[in-house]
Amino acid sequence: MKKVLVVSLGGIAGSLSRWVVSLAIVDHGFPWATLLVNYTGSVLLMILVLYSNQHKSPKWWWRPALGAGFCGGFTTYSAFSLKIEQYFTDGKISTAVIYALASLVGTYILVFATNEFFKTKWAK
Amino acid sequence: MRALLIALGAGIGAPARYLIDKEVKKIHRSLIPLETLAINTVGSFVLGLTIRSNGNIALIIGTGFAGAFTTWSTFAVETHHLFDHKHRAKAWVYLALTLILGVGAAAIGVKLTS
Repeated sequence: MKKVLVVSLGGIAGSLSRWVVSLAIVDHGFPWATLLVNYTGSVLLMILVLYSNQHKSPKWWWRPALGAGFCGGFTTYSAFSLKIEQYFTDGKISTAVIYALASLVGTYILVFATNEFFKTKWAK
Repeated sequence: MRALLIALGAGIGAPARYLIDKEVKKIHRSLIPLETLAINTVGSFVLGLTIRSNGNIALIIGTGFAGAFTTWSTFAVETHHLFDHKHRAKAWVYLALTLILGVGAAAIGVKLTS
């Protein structure tokens, strides 16, 4: 139950951060803010997973607060899927494909590079 | 005020995802993370429903709840994990299902409100 509360607080912090990023970035018709939060949040979660695989967790609340809480609240899938749906509805097929590829390939490259970098650094 | 509305939705969305994830993993563990898939599909549907809502509902249910309930980071780390452990076919299936079900669910949500 304590963990659920911690996830809730982390989720609030993450979601408010996502909202602040969306206010700060002028998107010019392309969802740059969503792309940015999804990139950074995925890298952060990858670092967390790698770190907790190799280290003892410093505090019990640390992993749920930052992982399921902050990273989960900060990144979002629904904004991505709705945007793709809207591009399709508006007939902007190429923009939909560019956005989907930028999100998927970009995230994969970042997460892959993060894994390569930290797995040797933190290897036991 | 707007921040409070988002916090309200996110304060429910994030722990709801956490609990569903934990409970599903207790009953059923599969290589393809069905719990994340279901969460992202349902959350996309919910966001689709809010598309014609007024500002406050959009902030609570859309930006707050659906935003925090669904997750891109877990999806990313899980997909990478599948590729990294040579479960390539499962990784592609997970990727394709996430896209098709998520976008489809969002479309159904939008349709239901129009």
